[in-house]
Amino acid sequence: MHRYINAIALFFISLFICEPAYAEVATRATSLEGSLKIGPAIILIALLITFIVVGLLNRAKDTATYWAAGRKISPVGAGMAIASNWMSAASFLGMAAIMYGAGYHGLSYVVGWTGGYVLLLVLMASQIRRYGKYTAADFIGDRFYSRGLRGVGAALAIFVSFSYCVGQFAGIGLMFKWILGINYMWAVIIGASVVLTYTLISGMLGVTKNMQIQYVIIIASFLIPTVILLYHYGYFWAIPQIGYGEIVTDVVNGLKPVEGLSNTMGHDYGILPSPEFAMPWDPATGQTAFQWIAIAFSLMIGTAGLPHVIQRFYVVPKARDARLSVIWGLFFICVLYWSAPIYTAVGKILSANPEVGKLSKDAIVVYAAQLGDIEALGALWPLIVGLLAAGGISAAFSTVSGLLVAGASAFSHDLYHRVFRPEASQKQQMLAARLATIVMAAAVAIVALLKLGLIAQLVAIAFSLAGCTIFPLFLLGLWWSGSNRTGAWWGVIAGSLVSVIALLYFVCGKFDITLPAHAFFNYYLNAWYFAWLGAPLAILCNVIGSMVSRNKTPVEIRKFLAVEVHGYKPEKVEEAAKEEQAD
Amino acid sequence: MTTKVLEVNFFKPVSLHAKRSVLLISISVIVWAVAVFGFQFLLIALNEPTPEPALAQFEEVWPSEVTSAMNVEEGMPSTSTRQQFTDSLLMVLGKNIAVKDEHKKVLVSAFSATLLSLLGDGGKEKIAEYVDVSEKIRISYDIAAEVSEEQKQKLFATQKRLQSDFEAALGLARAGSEPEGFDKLKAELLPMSVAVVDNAIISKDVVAQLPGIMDLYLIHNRNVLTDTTFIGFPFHYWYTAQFLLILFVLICLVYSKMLDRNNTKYGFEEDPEEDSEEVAAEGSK
Repeated sequence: MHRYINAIALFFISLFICEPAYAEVATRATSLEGSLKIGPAIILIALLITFIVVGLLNRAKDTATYWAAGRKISPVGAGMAIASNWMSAASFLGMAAIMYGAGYHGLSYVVGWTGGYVLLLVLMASQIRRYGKYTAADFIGDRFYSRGLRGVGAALAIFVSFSYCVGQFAGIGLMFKWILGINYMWAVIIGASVVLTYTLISGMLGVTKNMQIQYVIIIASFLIPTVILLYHYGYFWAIPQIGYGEIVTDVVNGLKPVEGLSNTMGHDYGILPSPEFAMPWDPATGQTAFQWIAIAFSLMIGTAGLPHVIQRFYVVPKARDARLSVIWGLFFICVLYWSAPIYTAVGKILSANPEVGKLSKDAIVVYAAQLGDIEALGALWPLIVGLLAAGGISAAFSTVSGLLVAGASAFSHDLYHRVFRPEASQKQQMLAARLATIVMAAAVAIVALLKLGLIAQLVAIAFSLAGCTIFPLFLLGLWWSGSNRTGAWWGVIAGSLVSVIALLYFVCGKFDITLPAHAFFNYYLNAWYFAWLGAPLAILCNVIGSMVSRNKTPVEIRKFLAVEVHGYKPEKVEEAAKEEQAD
Repeated sequence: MTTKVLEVNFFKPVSLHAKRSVLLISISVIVWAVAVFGFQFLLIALNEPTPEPALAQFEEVWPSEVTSAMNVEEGMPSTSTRQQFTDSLLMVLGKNIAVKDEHKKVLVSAFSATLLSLLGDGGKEKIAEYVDVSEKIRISYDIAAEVSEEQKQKLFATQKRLQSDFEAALGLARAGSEPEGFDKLKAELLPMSVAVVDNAIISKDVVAQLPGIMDLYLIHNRNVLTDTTFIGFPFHYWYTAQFLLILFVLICLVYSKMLDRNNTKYGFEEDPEEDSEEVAAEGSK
């Protein structure tokens, strides 16, 4: 418990040091954009320092003591760590953005990013844990006894991490833009440099245990403003997740100007009837029911195929605790997802007047809070809004540093060492990992500058990629001994082909190049949800490929699957193996 | 027991324990799928395109407005007809972020032409001045713009004077009084909804596009599930945004409990090696 108190105390001490700057905070607070916001900037710096110092204080001496500590950690604590690892700019900023722009359509992201955990837990968690490999590429290479597939697995893990990062960098860029009042390009460049430094520093710290503290701070920064906003605008504020229901109804039915309430720009608190905000697949949003279902499905399948999510199960010592920690993790994630629509609904009313201007949808969480005219709190309110923005950045930071490290290690460990240069020394591997981190961060920043889509949409690409390629390999690999190397190749090729086609059409569309049947592919194989077709197709190809080929899964692997992974009685399995040899 | 125990196949579980586990997994996945996708299909089946009252308001006056606005010589439709028309346009413009820019342009053009006809003599000058002042006020919001407080007050006074004329002409408020309720919100839209137009004729292009635009923004998919309120929410919204997430946690919880019970019942050891390791560690202390 004292860890939390330390962290909070540290946070306030660092705030106190910067205290003289506060006078300026209040005067700068009124403009939505275009100026340096000193309060939020201080909070951000304080927060990052807190994370690093807490990491230093709680540093584990070596990997063994880390896992030893990990064993003692309660499922609740482990759940917080899972949630902190999961919550990114996409959950923190992107979801509200989609709902703000496309109403009910945006809920497909809320459902998609939580429902996948059910699949993961029910279909794969126990089996993955018992298989006991350390990375997705390790599992794929081992289960399908192929060095080539191991390389492909590593490459896929890198691609997935990469596209996951692009959305995060866009979020980091937007928040830096908001705090520093500079243009998007410089914001991305500065944000990328800071996150890279942060990753390299926290990477040097080795394994730390500050994930729980990160969760508490991030979720607090997200929830505090919702309570204040709902209280101020006269809704049931004690549980804002329930209280905002009336806001949704107000938006749908319209709300006559409420006496004495306004946004920071002086417009009345009220809105003309806007059912398009909540009605399913409203024509005004241009989104259809098919797209809703395709996105929800792709995101769910993708969750169960994301390397950095699956990875969490390899190392949990006890099966029962592993399951409990997933359930707690899902619950803690849901706390954020239950709350995200609050910002959308409040933001919709506060930005109802066109004079507010075109707000960047991806920053609507912060704008909604900023448009809230909470005079009673004085200069404290801008600071709370600043904490919200800083929370968004930390959510992105923790995810990005994890992904950069995962991508770099997939490169140095799985590709460079295992596939290309088995003779590489430990030192060379380390160097390769560092270089890969830097190269990857730079490349991600460049792609993020292209502004290819909203944060949530960009991250959805990673989910579809994982759903098309990695998910089928795990599902069939764990549940069917019959799936063999040929089948795996067929499946991977089919899944990758669908991905390449979808991404090709997407990228060409962005650069105004029209390919044949562009509208058709854009609708049915959109970059945000191509896994709705790709994943079932990859599974089908995997099954057909496995059936037509004579190349049977080696008996050792089948024995391992039966005995170790599924707990069949060893003597029976041995008998069957002997019988088969005799045939 | 069968002899083919070497193969692992989800659909061919070999032991009673495995059969129970597979049943548990299948039930969980089916509940999950029906809850998520079944409900959406139910919505699709029930959905009825339902227009907002503003659409009826628009369609009631639309053809007459068009014939006469296109040809002023034939005589203007009555003031109340035109006010009903502008009112329906404002209802769509009030959706702000939901309305596409190119559609806003069409709406603003039709709105401004009708406003001009309603203002009568000197309307053109009034509109020009109003647009100019509103633009200046918008610029003054930016802290980079250096507009003195006095200048600002002057701008606001001009805008207010013109706007009360507009409000009276549009029927949003009686002369000398402030608009109330939704009319107040509509009046607040004016600074962004009025544009300079040459004359009170709605162009052919706008005439062709307008009915489609009104349909697009004023018809919604509604059904009994969307119109029922539950703890403040439209029911379908609550179900998808909150209940499904609660259900996900519950499915995981129930699955986990049932699996544990199943494992105990059939004596299935999940962590056999782990236990022995711990025993070894204890012994070495």
